[in-house]
Amino acid sequence: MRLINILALGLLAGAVSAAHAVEGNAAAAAKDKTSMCMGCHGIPGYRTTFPEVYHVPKLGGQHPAYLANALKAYRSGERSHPSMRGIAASLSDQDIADLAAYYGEKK
Amino acid sequence: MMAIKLSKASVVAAVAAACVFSGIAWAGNAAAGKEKSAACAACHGADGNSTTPDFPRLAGQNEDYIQVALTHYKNGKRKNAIMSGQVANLSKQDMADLAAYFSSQQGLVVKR
Repeated sequence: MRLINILALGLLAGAVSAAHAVEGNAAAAAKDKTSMCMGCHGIPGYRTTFPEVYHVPKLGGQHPAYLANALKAYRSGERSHPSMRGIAASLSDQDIADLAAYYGEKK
Repeated sequence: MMAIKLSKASVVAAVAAACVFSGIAWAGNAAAGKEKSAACAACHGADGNSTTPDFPRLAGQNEDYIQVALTHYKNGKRKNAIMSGQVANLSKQDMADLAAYFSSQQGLVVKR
């Protein structure tokens, strides 16, 4: 393989790995970050309030990346829900990654 | 003892009221939902256990939550280019049936 090709490949690999800036730690979330979540999402049958009454979504076993994106969308205001926006606003990128990793596991 | 005659209308009204207050807007049929789920399966997996994180797991999700999500994609309350296209052709009954199907699959759980 030509040297320029090897260098280009190395640069690409570096760029891809740099994109994963924050790694989630489920144990860190379990320790002290889930208190805001479990009050609604940890109670079987828990429902939102008026005007639209429906069961809050189950989180256990959901794709961590999907959960992280959802929390970021609530935080940025891209996705609307008064309670979720308020909660997400208080979360750092690390918090989000940790919580996503935590709920990604079923147990 | 007084015999109470239940008219058909009052039975329908009672069932409808129960559905509304139980949080489910429209009663769905899981078997019908399975038949209608081919388009969903492409991204979310045949039973709702998607393999890519771009598309959330639906298997075992709360039935009324799925209905509400689909409704929100349809009325624009929730925005997603792919989903808004998908729900355009879904009736209320379709959404209820799909919700009944995916919610009855094994997957997501309530986690403390």
